Amino acid sequence: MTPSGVRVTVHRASAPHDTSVLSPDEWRRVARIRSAAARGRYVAGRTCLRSALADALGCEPRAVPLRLGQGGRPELTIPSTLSFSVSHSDDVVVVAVSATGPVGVDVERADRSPLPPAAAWLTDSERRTLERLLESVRDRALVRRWTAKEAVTKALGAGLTVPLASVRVAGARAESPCRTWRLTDLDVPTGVVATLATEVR
Amino acid sequence: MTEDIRSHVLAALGEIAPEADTTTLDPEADLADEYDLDSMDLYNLVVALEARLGVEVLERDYPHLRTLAGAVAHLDGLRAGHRT
Repeated sequence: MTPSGVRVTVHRASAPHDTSVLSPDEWRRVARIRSAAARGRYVAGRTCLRSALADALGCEPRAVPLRLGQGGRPELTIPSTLSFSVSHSDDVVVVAVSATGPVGVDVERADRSPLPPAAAWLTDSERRTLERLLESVRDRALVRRWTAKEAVTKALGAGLTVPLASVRVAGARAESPCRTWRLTDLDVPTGVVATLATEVR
Repeated sequence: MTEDIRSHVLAALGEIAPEADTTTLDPEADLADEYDLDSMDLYNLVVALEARLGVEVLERDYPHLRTLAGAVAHLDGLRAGHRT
């Protein structure tokens, strides 16, 4: 169940989207994306994000004051306590908006391969735990673990500039330096897995 | 030196995205936008380059590797640091 104060919406990138809500800056970014698939996902992600933020702010999607922030991440240009995160993989777009604290979301294909070498992003304890799993479920568990760690780094506002091994996952909790996170497996279409991270205070 | 690193970056990119046509790559273009790479792809790219070049890229420097020019400059600097 999604934590209170957090709204998660799941969309199909290939579904029709009202692209008239995008800003000139967003269209300029679209024009720079050479991959058609990436362009489609960006447009879908932005329109879905604008729609979710419009609901939270009580305005029209085109009026949501977004700009490109550090690392290309979108940020609101008005003072707001809202936190939000967008992730897409294949044809699935997930948007999370929180009124109660930092939030991060990540979605990946369940059969994603190759995953980065375990030593690069898992703690020793996590490696031992995952190695004990049956091979038939291990790969999916690894993808799930990746989504958990990436969701936390997004909630931290840092993305992959934070060492993934500094985020320690145990069950439905994660610890990053000085902070604790609740992890929620999201209900998403077959073929992908997604995790939501919200801070425990 | 720089040309050697450039060829390593392009080779590693070819491993991560085998369908990528790197012959017309703008050195300043965002690799994710050019080749539809996501964060895991970029992470794999960094790991591959670390193995190829024998350097360690700190996470805070990952954004430097989002373009070919940035990657070559940063990796060149790391290797130069290793030589001194």
